[in-house]
Amino acid sequence: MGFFNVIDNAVGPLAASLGQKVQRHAAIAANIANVDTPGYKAVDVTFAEELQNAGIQMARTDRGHLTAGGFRPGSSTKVMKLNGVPRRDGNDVNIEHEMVKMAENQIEYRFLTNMLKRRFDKYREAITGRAA
Amino acid sequence: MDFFGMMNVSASGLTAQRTRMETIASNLANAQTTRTPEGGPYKRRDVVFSTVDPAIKPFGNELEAAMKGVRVSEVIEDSKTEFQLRYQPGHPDADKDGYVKYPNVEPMVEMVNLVSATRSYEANLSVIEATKSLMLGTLEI
Repeated sequence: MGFFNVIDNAVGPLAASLGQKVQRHAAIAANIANVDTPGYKAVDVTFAEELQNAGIQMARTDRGHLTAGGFRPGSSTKVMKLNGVPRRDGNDVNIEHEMVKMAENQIEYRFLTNMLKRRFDKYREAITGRAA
Repeated sequence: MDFFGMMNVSASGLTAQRTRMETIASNLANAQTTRTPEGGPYKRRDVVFSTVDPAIKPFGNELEAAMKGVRVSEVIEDSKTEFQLRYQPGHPDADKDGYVKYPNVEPMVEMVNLVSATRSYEANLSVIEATKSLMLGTLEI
């Protein structure tokens, strides 16, 4: 298992979920921009539930060990209509709902960037031998 | 991934809402205008919003087709609402019975519209703030 594989294994899944958060934010941005557009239907994105195995296995020295490792979220994006209650002009954007989703998404994004930063700090620590 | 595509979508929302506010300003400013180049009193104007494909397409997937910006497709004149008649026999634009046709602008309606436009404008602004904070968060990794 090469060094870069190890790094990719540790940060790859986080980076992939970061990409999902960006797409979710884009969908929310479009909904809010169209809050007054007659007939507009709010959209949201979902991502494939199944995890994709990146083909890397953790070493097993005991039969009781789990075989996890190298899993990352699926990369296929599905766009779905939210199907809220439409107003008289046919627009079904729920602005409060969108703002809450945006705040939620922002916090999750922050969480992921913090996690990534910490992972990289750990590698720096390992490489340089000095505490970050 | 491109954050600027998203910013453009929010910016299109800002532009559309600002145009709406300008229309409202024009309506309020001309609430008493009895003469226009087309003849007759001023008619209140309204904007029509429609979706538009964003100029920058940040994602190479399904989301691209679903992600829409907004634009003002039309500014329409409201000719359904009746003009207001006021009895002012001395007014040069009075008809033979002494009534002057004033614009069909209802200040209360315009103000409500203005508040709605302001709120939507602010919502788009907070999305831009959020996008910025996401971008900056990425730079901190």
